Amino acid sequence: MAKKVAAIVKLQCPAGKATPAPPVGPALGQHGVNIMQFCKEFNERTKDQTGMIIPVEITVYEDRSFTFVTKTPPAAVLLLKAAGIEKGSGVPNKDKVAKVSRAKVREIAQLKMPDLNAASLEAAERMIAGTARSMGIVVED
Amino acid sequence: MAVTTTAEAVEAVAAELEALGSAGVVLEDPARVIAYWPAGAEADERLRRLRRFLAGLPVCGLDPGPARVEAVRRDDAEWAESWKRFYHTRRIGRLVVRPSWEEYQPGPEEVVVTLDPGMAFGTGTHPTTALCLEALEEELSGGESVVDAGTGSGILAIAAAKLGAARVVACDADPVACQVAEENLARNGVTDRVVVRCADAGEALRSLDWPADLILANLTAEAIVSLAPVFAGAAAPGGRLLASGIVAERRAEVVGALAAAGLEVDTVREREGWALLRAARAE
Repeated sequence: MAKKVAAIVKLQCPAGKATPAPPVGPALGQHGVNIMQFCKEFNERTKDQTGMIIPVEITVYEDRSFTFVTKTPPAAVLLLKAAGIEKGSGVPNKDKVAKVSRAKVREIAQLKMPDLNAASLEAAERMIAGTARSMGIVVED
Repeated sequence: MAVTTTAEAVEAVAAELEALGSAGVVLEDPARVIAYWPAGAEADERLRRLRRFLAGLPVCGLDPGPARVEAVRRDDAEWAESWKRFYHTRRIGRLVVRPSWEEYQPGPEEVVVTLDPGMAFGTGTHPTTALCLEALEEELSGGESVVDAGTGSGILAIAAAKLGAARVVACDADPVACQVAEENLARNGVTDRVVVRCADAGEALRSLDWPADLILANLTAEAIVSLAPVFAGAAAPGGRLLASGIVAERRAEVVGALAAAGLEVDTVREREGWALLRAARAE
C-alpha cells in the first residue's frame, strides 16, 4: 500500500555539503524528519556534484520516513557557468559582469522547463533572461 | 527572511539570497523563498540590499509582483527537537531501541538500547543502521573485541556491548557526535566496556592496541573504499567487517576494494537502495 504523504518540502542546498543548520534543519524539523538522516543521504547521493547548489524535493510520509529527488541546477548556477564567471554583480543595474547569448538563454530555459512554474517556453526564457540581468549578466540578441 | 514574490522572479530572488550568504534556501509554493542567517548586526543591511534588489527587478524584465519581505527571528530549539515526537521504540530482532523519553518493559530475551541521538546520526530507523543491528546479533556470541568506526549516536557500539562484546572502541571525527555518544554510553551503563575516541576512523583503527574480532563501519561507499586496507590491518585473523551505508549502485566497487585489501565479502544484504556487506579476513 502506498504510504500517505504528510508534506512536500523544496530546498536548494549545496551538493555534498548539507548540514543540520538552517535552511535544512527548520524546513525538515518542523515536519518531524530526522535531519541528520536526510543530510547523510543527500550528501552521499550528490557528492559527485559538490560545489553546485542543488534543488531537492523531499516527500515526507505520515510515518516520518522520506524520499527525495534532485532537480536541475538553479537558473543562476547555469547562467554563471554559461557566462564563465563565479559570481554575479552586486549592483546589477550598473556593473555588468558578463554576457550570454539569446541562444544560451533558450538552451537553459529548455533544460529547466520541467522544473519551472512557467506556462510556456517563452515565459521560461523571459524568466531566465530576467534572472541573468538581475545578476549583472547582459543578454545579447 | 521570507520573500513572497511571483513565479517568474523566484529564481532571481533565490540566487540573490544565496549571494547574500544564506547556505541554501527553502522554496514554498507558489512563490515564496525563505533564507536563514545567524542573528547579527548585518540583518538591516541585508534587508536594505534585498529591497533594492527587488525594486530593480522590473528593469531586468522580471515582475516581482507586490513582493513582501518578512524578517523573523527564529530560535534553533523550535525545530531541532521537533522530530522527536515521531521517533518511537523499535524492535530489531532481539534488540529494542528505545528513545530516552519513552518507557518500555522489555521481555526476558530482549536487549534494550536507550538512545537520545540529538544531532548525531543513528536512531536505528534508517536502513543502514537497521541492517547493522540485525547483523550484529549474529556476529556476537560474547567476549569479542569490537571497533565502531563512525559511531554517530553510539547506537551500534552500545548494542555490541549489550550483546556481549568484551570491549568496544567507538570513534567519530565529529565532536558533536562524540559528546552525544558519551551521553548515550552513560545512559546504557556501558562506559566500562565502551570507549569513545574523537578521531577519524583511520587514525583510531591504526592506533588500536589489540586486533579486532569485529569492525563496524556504517559509513559511506567512498569512506569504506579508502579505509579498506586500514580495516584489514586492524582485523584479527578470521576477524570480520560489517560495512554499511553503501548505496546499492556502488556495491561492486566496495566489494572489489575490500577484496584487494584481503577482506573477502561473503554476505550481502540490501534494503531500500542501501547495502550491507559482511567480509572476513583470512585466518
